[in-house]
Amino acid sequence: MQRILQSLKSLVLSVLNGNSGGEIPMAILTEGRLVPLVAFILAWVATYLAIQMGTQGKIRIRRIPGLDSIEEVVGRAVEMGRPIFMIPGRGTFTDIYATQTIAGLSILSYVATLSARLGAKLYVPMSRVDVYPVAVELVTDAYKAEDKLEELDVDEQIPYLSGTQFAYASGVIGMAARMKPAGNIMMGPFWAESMMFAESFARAGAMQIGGTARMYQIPFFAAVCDYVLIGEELFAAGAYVSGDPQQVGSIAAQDWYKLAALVLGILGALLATAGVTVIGDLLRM
Amino acid sequence: MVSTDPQIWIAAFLTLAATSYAFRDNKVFKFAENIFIGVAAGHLVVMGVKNIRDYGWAHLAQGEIIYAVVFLLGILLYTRYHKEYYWLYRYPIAFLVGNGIGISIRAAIHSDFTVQIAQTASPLIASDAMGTINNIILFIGVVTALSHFIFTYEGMHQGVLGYAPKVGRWMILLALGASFGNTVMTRFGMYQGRVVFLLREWLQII
Repeated sequence: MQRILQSLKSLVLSVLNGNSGGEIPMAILTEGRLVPLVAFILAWVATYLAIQMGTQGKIRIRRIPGLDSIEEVVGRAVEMGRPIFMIPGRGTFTDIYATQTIAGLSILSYVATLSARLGAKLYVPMSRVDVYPVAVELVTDAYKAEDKLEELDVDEQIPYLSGTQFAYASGVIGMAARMKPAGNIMMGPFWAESMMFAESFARAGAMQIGGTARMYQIPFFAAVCDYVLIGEELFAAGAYVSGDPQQVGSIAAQDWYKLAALVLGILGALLATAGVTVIGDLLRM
Repeated sequence: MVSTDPQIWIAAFLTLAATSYAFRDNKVFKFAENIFIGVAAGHLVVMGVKNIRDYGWAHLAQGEIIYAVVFLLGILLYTRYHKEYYWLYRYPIAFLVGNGIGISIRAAIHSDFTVQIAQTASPLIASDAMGTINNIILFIGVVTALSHFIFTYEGMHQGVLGYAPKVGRWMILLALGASFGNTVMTRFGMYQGRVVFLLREWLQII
């Protein structure tokens, strides 16, 4: 079986790279990346199909407990007459955390809509120059949709603090200490500042919801926040609140990949235990 | 013998000022906070100008016309301050978003998908008993934790199948607990570094 796989790999690589055994000036495909390419194409097709299904309303995302609490946090802020904070993380659109940033912005839009509707004063301290205008536009659109644009002061409520991690963190901590917000929602990619935020807002008496797909920061949110969205729940939450069929469809497509991963993982481990390593070998092609 | 170096004194004062927040918000902390944000903003402007000069203008001056596109995209970002042409800033943003998502996908398919499955599809039986137990725990952890993150198939969270996501959640919490402890240790190490700085560099008593 291994010989068959090896021959297959050599054949595909030589055909795609136009190589008959000589030096390859610039390979279209490199060894070990053949299966990722196939997986990428399959993922693309699956995502396209899932988005079609999402557009037709055939896909439903299960309710995530942390999401229900967003309304509770905004309502609490209104009752207490204190502001609410929404921090969409420190990711940019140009790094590998872009997807988390986009999920965080979807939730920002939802929080802004709720805040405008219920009358809570929303603060969105920002740290990234490329994300800042998008955040401003989302919040402005949310207030406009609720016909409350006159209640929004962009310069005061969506301040750009700093692009430097701990300068930004100290700015947010200072705002939390002085404004005593009733709630704080942190959704997006976070780094070492996550614990500083969670601790400072807890000290200020804020009810908190944290969500990130950065594994090292989830424990801090889990330890300090009232509700936490773990890992991919952030993306599902972003899709759920946006109601965007493309986002909903992509979540369904991801579920298909996960199911495929489950099947391949279980089968592969059982077969490998029996001495047949075909699935592992295939995936390393 | 206390240090006479003014830089050490500034660093020591700012360290104490930042730490003072542990007691409550106060004017000294606020002073340090404003200095930090101001210095960071100044540094960012200088670095921004340096980047434009080194990575953009230098190439353009050498006749690499393609860099004009980069400048154009950068300038378009500022159109958001113009009432009539504000919509033009969406083009560079669209470029940035597309670029970011593209990079994410490229890395995700390989490292988060095929490599992860290939690692899971390993023999459960190892050469020693502890190795076998480890492999089985890892296998159960991966399979159950993955099942927890299935959002569009309700059946995965009901009936007999529903036990897998529940076990998965416990597995995740265990992993998070270990990670939490590890990071807290690191943070204590960092704080210890500042305390050592105060005692050794500033007060010079150790």
